[in-house]
Amino acid sequence: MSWASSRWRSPGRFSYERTGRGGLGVGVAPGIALLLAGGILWALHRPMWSAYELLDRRFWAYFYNTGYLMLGIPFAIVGSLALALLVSADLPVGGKTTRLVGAGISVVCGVITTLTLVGVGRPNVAVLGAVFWAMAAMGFAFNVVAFRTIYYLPTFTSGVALMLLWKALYNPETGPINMGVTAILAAIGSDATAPRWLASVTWAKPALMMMGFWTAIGGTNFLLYLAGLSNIPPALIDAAQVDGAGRWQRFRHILWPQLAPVTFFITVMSVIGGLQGGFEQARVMTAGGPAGSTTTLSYYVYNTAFQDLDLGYAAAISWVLFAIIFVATALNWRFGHGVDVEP
Amino acid sequence: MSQKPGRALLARLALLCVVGLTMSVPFVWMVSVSLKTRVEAEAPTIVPADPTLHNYPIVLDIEPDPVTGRKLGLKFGRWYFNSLFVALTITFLQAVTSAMAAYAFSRMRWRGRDKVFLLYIATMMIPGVVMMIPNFQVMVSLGFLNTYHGLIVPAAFSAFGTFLLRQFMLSIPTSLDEAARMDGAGHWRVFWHVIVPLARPGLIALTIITFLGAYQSFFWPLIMLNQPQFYPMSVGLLALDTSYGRQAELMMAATVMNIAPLVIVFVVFQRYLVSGLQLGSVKG
Repeated sequence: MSWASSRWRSPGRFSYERTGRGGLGVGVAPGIALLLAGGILWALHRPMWSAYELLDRRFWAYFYNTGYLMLGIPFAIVGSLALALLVSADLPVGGKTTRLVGAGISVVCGVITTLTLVGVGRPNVAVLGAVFWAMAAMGFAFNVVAFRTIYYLPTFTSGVALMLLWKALYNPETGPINMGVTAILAAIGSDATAPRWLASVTWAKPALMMMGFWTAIGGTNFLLYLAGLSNIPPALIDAAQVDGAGRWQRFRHILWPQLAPVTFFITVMSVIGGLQGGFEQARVMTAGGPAGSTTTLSYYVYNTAFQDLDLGYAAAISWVLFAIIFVATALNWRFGHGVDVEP
Repeated sequence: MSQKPGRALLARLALLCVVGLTMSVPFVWMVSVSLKTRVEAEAPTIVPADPTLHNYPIVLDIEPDPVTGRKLGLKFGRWYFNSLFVALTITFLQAVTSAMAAYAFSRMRWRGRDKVFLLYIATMMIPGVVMMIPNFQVMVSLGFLNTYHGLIVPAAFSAFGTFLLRQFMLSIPTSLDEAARMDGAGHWRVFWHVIVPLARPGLIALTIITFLGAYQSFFWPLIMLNQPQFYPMSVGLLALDTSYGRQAELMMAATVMNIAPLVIVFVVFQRYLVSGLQLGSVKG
């Protein structure tokens, strides 16, 4: 079925052609000459240029931090795709009667579970059980729409408030995450100590990435994938099913190629967002620390402008950042060649 | 896949519920801590043994904090008002200006229209970080620091909103407004009685996106303001965290109050949300 990937793409959309390479050498020559001239001048007048801090070590350290945090992007994309696949097709809950019966059974189960757990003195588990059955009831009543809404909530409410919430969750002494980790470590008899998350140079970045995963997994990318999945002609999937393709084969040879434009769009937007991201969490949760390990380029721009009060240098950093974003986007276009732009 | 319901249905439903439960645990914890007393706030329980609603009036500066016996002395109520006032004003202004600009770009004929529109969209390509410092300096020159209009005016116009609504209006058949023109309606009448009602889904989507962005905006108020009476809640929460960050029950009461208006918007506009945000997601 691999023909599907090339043939079924809707025609007439905007796609770009690789330009010829003929004029490349001629066109680039003056630039190279200028660059060489500049390099020679710089070598000759090194003391003069060094006044301008051509080699800002901190910039590269923060660039590394930004890149490290962007490693979360592929996880977020895969997570969104998996979630979108889960809720793309309606649940076969049947007609109005069976839906009501299902919701009713869920509510009854929820009440029984909650009462039992409270009865045996586990009220905390009872709350989680009640939430679980409430979701099941909503699933029967409103089908997949209920879950689309629930999964979208973290993105919808994201902001300073949720970052403060996660700061409290990650608190090494009093936060529930470390209470859980400590309990698990004790249960398996390990004498390792729980990580100190935002207060640790090693764990601060992974902690922020996990928070980002939680926030983004049901967000914009998820909605884009849902839209992409609903645009795939059902005939393609039916045909593959008739030909005996299994679940994985259908995904690998039909859904994935059909979703390629969406994936491309999401990747481009995530890279652009990632390169200029990380300001809010650095300002709210970590103050860029510990030891500058969560300072991203955007937070560096902010700090230079409004803490060091050097607006000129901050503007220069922001232009370099713009150049990096531009190059990254151009590279994305180059390697996403032939993929339609419009999702 | 509808041939084999039953077990497949239950397995998928259970999986969906487990994922949903995992994603909502932080929210459950947030509400639970906001209902606890100081003594209990750090206990590893979800159900408070001694539930209390007092954290909310304490944060709002109505009741004194039992730990110190004094009021917090922070203007949380004022910050709440600032956030809602600024966000609603921005949303209203942006909806008006975007709709009118979109009408001009999609329904009126004038020289250079499409070139001007291209310039409009080109501004969307420039990352916010680059525009921040020039924008800030303009605000300083205008004397807009520490004012409400310093927060509202820069956000009152939006290339993105214009783009979104123009695309929407282009999909409305021109025969409708041509008929109105035949009957002698001017541009204002056509705009108000034909185009705006038909562009309602697009307008609602834009309204939600704008309100969300304006209510949550953090960076711009942070650099524009240093007098607490103008803070929106996002910056105010940071101030609260600086002074009372160790009192988780107060922080969580504040975050619940911050999120509450969003949850209300979410529930009320839930119907328009998914389609609307798919429209809007081009912004990324």
